[in-house]
Amino acid sequence: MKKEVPIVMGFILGISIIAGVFVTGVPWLTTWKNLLDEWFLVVQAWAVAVGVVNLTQIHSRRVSQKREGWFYSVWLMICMFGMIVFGVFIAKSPQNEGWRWMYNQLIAPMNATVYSTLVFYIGAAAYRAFRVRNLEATVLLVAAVILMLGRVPLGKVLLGGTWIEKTADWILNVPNSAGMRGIQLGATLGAIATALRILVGIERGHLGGTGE
Amino acid sequence: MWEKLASIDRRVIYALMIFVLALALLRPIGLAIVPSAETKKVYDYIESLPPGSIVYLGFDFSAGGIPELMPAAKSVIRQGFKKDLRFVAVGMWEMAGDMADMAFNAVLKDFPNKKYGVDWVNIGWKPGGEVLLQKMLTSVNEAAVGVDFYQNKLDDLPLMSEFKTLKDAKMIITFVTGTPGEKEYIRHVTSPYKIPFAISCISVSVPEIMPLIQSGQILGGILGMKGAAEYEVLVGAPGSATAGMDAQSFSHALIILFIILGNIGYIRTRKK
Amino acid sequence: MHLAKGNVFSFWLGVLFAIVLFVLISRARKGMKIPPLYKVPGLDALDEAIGRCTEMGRPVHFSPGIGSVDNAQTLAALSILGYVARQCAKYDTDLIATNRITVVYPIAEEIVKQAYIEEGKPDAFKPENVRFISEDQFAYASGVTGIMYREKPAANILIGAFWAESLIFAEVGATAGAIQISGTANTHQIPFFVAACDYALIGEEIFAASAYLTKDPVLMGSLVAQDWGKMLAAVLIIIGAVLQTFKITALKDLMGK
Repeated sequence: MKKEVPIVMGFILGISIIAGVFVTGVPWLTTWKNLLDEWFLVVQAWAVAVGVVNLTQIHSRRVSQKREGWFYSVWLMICMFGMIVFGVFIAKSPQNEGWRWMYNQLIAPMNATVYSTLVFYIGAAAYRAFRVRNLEATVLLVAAVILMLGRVPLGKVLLGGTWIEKTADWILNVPNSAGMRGIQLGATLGAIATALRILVGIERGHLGGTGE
Repeated sequence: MWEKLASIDRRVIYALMIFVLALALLRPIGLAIVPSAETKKVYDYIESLPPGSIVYLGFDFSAGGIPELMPAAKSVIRQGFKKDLRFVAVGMWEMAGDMADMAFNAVLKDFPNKKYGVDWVNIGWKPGGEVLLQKMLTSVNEAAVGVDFYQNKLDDLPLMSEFKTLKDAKMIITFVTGTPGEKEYIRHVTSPYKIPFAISCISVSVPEIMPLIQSGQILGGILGMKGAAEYEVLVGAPGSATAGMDAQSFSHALIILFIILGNIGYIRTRKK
Repeated sequence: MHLAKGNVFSFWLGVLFAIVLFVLISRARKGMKIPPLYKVPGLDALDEAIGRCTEMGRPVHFSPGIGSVDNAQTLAALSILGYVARQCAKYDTDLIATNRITVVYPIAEEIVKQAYIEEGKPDAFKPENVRFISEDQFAYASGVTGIMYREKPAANILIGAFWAESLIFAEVGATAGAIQISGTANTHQIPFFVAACDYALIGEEIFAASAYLTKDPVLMGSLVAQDWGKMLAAVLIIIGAVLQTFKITALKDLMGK
């Protein structure tokens, strides 16, 4: 029963959503789909509480056992609960000045900072990966260098003319687009097949265990 | 020595990278920028819209996307205001309202006669992602729960009386870093209802976007910081993207230099 | 009642694909001969990676990506998590499964717990090793970075829907000296995984993983259906290209309906 009930529910609700997307002109179906969409949003929002509980459990254990770096766990909990208490009891609205300050001056810059570290990782990954190990790796290397030079003004300055830019555009438009289409096509069919297998209960890996 | 070239400490790469980026940003040399065909298509389409047309702007990114997408957003708004177009900004990403607010406020200094609620509306982030788009196809007011980013009632904003559903948009432009993003618009809105659709995306997404531009599902794209810099040039207001192109140029050159060094080291050590 | 505008062709194509899929699955059940699958080194390497962790006494890190349960990639990743968890339970190796989405987290926890129960080692399951980090994409990336540096997993398995954090994870994993197996159907992130990881599953390979790992003939039957789907797509592309060359828009118009 532990697996049958979720499978039956998944089938009914999944078919409802598919029908709701493809079929129009059936008022009760539209209402039902809208209701399901709203439920999904509500479940997603409330699931955050589950995350908070998990974080609290893990980090309070780290603090009580005085594991290495336990003070970072204290700081995490201060920040997490501080933001919750401030948001719910003091700010009460996302338009509150203090709340917006916290969001724009703390969260946004931290977000942007972590994202910007990618530039360092890209440099290091390119240095390690692009080696003339064999023919395929050499093709990858040459294409990468052409694109890197062809997509910035410096390429034209260093190499003269527009050939580098045109070659970069050709790589992007022809071999890249062809490969991307092929991968996307296969991935989409794979996703549809996975969804159908889950819908009818053939694939149960996501329910835990071997599914037998 | 060759072994060292083949395995340079990544911290050396990091240090040189930050040095080159900082130097190029602080002392730009102003390399010439020539608009590409993809960027020009977006510019030309906006130019062809009659004054008063409502353009939907999707602010589907967060703070990480600011360097590449914000300059494009500002340039599009600048071009639109010059042509007396009107804008409705919505977003499927949580920071959408803040991002739109930042873009409009930066441009409004040069257009003091443009009024909120008449020439532009910032609805901001509304939850639901893909579902939000579907709901806006039947009623923007309902999908937005009746209020904009600043908690004004949408019914009180004159522009919204002409923008009841997404189908009222003469063009949709999304500024996007990931999912939900362009595919959701194509799937539910722009392809079924034949609404002209343009995109501004980060550089990483460019290879994935190209097939969609080729197929005509996207009419043109402001692609990465390069596209944003080109758009600034087209609009005649060079900004942070134009300045950033020098930094991007020299960082690419540095990466290529390291690739060459790594390969010299690799070939020499392999021969040994 | 009618089909939504712009979705008519895709609806009927979907119905056709579903019929083919179920016919082939039922034939597979009855013993249809399934052509052998090509080798997927990334999936074969899962056991090697877990074995390495066992030998070194270090944990395995698994991330199912940052997509929610409405993303098929996440569901495929969770199936692979089940396999990894069973292997970890079998060899008494710690498994750290990190999550960004709160809806995914309890599912991941249940999968890992169930795997330990099925291997007869319920007491070895450590709930604190299935972790929710943050709903924020880059806060999650920072959290995983910290785990990679502090707990030094010897294997870093990244399979699911990834965006900008993919290279952060892969580079940090490389710095920590972990063997790295990655996979995503997000085409813009595949190059990063290919460049920075030891093994990369490309696109549809992540969806074939459960069939590949379990060798279940029913699941294998559905892979045959996927291949038929690809062949149909190839035929449509060729016909479309020829018609378009002669400016005949009949097929294009039909697809747009």
